[in-house]
Amino acid sequence: MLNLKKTIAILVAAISIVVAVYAAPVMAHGEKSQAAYLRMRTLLWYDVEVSTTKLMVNDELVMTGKFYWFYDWPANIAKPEVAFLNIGIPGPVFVRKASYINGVSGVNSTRFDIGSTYEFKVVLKARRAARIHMHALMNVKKAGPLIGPGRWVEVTGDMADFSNEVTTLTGETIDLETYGLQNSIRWHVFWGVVAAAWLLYWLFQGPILIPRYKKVKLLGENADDMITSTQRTIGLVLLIGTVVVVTWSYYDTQAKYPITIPLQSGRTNIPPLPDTTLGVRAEVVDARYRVSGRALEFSVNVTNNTNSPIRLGEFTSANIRWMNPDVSTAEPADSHDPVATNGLKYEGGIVYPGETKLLKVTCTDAAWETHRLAKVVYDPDSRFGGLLFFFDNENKRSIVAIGGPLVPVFI
Amino acid sequence: MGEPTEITDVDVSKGLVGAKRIAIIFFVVLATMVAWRVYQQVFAWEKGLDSFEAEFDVYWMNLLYTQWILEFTAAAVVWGYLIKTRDKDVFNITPQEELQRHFTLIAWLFAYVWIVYWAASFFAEQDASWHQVTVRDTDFTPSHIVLFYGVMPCYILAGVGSFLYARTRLPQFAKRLSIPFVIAVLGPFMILPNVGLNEWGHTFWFMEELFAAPIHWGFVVLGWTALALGGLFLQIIPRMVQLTQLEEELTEDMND
Amino acid sequence: MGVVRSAITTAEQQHRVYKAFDWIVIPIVVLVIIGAFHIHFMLTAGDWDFWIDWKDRRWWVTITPITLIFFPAALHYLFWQHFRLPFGATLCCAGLLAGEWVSRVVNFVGWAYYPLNMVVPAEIIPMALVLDSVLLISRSFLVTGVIGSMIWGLIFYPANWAIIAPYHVPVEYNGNMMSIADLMGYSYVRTGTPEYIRIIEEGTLRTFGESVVPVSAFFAGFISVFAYFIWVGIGKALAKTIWVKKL
Repeated sequence: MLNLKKTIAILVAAISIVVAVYAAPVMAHGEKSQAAYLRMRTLLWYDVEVSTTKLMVNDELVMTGKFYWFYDWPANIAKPEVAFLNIGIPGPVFVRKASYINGVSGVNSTRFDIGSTYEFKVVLKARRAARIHMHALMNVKKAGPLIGPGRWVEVTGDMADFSNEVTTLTGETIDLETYGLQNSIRWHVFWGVVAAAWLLYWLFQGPILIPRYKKVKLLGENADDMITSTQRTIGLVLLIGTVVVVTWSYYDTQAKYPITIPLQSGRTNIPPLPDTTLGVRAEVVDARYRVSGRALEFSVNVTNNTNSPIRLGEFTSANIRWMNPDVSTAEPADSHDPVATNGLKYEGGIVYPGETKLLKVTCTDAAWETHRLAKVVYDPDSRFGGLLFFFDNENKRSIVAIGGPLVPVFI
Repeated sequence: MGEPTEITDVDVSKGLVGAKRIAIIFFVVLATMVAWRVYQQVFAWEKGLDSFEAEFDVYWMNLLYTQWILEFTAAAVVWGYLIKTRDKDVFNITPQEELQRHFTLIAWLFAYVWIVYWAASFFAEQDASWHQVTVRDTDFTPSHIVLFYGVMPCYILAGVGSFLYARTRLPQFAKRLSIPFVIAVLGPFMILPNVGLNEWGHTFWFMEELFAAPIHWGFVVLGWTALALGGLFLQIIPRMVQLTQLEEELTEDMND
Repeated sequence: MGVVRSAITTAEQQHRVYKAFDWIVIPIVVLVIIGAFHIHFMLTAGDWDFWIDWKDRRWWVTITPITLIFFPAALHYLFWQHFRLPFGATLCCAGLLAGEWVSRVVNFVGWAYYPLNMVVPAEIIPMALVLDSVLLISRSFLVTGVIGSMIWGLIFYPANWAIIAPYHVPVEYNGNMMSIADLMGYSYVRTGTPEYIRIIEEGTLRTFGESVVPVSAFFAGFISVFAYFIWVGIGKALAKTIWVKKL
């Protein structure tokens, strides 16, 4: 069996080298398994940044960004009545020092308004050396994790150097890594020893199974006579002893920790950010996905109610960005950041103040396939969604959500 | 029924447990489980977080397929061997032989429960430590591949093996079917198909990993069936009493 | 088949067989209990047992004793009825704790890297000792079920207070008051286990001057009484020595 494992390990290693050479860049946290319509029409993240991507144990990292709760929420996904701003990391590589949604502390779960935008900030402290793909993430009750953009982050150093100190309201400074552990283990060992003594006492009554079985059957209804009065006395001592120790430990602990509170289970309410459209309206007239060209093509009626002329600079959906470099540029932050730097083209040009204009937009990139977004046409709810970013002359953004039915073009 | 063959002079009461075979079972199972666990330690976080990565196929799906091939082969060989080499004169074995075979059955049961421990306790709780910490994106996660498709088939192999051993080599089990034995083997076996309910439910209601969720209770109820091993031992013990009876002893019926 | 003939002739041989039987069967019993009881417990009350920030005054206190008494009751039947051995509950609970400790250390700490103090299992030995000793003293399932199970439920929380109290000391954190347990749950990120998933401290708590624990513990004891009898019955059913010709 062991040799077999070794053989398999060698085979796996050999194949993996081949794969490592040829493998195309892909995301790294399982978000691709989520249905495309779910990724496009639930939580739309943007402006996500991390303060650093290389840090030492005990260093801090700040992740910031914004998210928009899509107005056309899929019917079979639970609405964000209860949600929790989280972070997608493989176990506590970081500890969370603080998290904020619109400046409000995110220690509690909260509810969100569909159709609204919020900004977030998460402060993390590195705990363990690892190279990980870290995601912004929102857990929505009954809908599960909604995964935001990810970044590769590398932590170096020694976990042994990590400490996580806080000062309690009773004035004690403690390290959460080890706090209370000795006490817990002491109690478990104490009761474990008592339990072992009790079990061993009976096991050392000689062979116990067959002889006692025989005796029980032979004695019939008098089988209780097998229990001696000494054993019953032992039972009484054990009973009283256990109750006494438990009672004593309870009152002793009360004396040691006179101030305690129950677990906190409150919920907060956080008002959304002001409207991000700044008076720009956009409505999809017609949308098609060209399978062979890996392109989303849609016509959108745009009304500019602002005081400046605007141009379309970006379309984003499911953490993928299609940029129109004539208006706005962006580069992938790392190998796993899907940015189509030249992926957006549109006909219609500038939309002037007060004007309503039909724009014909094309978003092209292999990401439609590699990130399984093209699968939307095979979903049970094949509508799409995303955010359009319009820019005025001073680079001020109007961010407008669009969406609607999507018709595939196969030929 | 023919007469049992004559009693031999060998003292059958010595070496019944078979310390060597128990040690072999213990260490082979231990080594296999540790190998799985080490494999997870090395490759789960590195290669097992995204089922759409090519490397996931290499390290995890290939492990799954390898397990399946090995398990089906092992089951065919072991179960086939037990049936093929069945004792065709099982009702005429000597008491000494029967006593020894009972201890061989118990050795089979030892293998069974030793693997049950790894599946139901160790790797089952490990599954919590994975799913409560990561985003579930496939039914074949690094913890599931080992737990459901690796360790569980192993105990099924041993459980059914022990049942077949008794059925083919021990008179009282050959004569009639032991209901508690059937329950104690079939119940835990059904935990594997119950994965279907689990995964179906997870695609429906439970997007988060709440371990105490009702969707998991199929495993719980099937786990209870392991208690039927108690009934099995209550069938074995009276037979042991008869097989170890002394002449001057009371000869009352020890059965329930 | 005729009368079964004996395989041995001397008392010494008989003793040796009996000893051999104990040597191998007792480990089997221990292993199967750890496995079966652990999967039962982790899937009925596991979340409360895994994490320090689930150990609340209402659900943890209510659920744990109730679901924990199933196997002890079944094994009380098996071991007392057939062997007059009063250790079924302690065997179950000690076995469960052994399985839990191995998994917490090797998996929750060794694989998922949570600090051990966050994943210490609940202390369940005292309850088991009480249940066993009441059975031994009373020699009666009825008395054990009514009195033993009630104490079983009642002492769960006090027996654990010595372990969890330190984690209920308040902390001010980012403008909020939290217990240390809450803070640990917040600090040590669990991607798949968000804050809201905790089933804790529900209800308006308008009873007995907000003393939630005694009510929860008393209720747990009350249900444990019924659960004990049901599970003595299930233990009896699964210990039946039924033979059939055909299935």
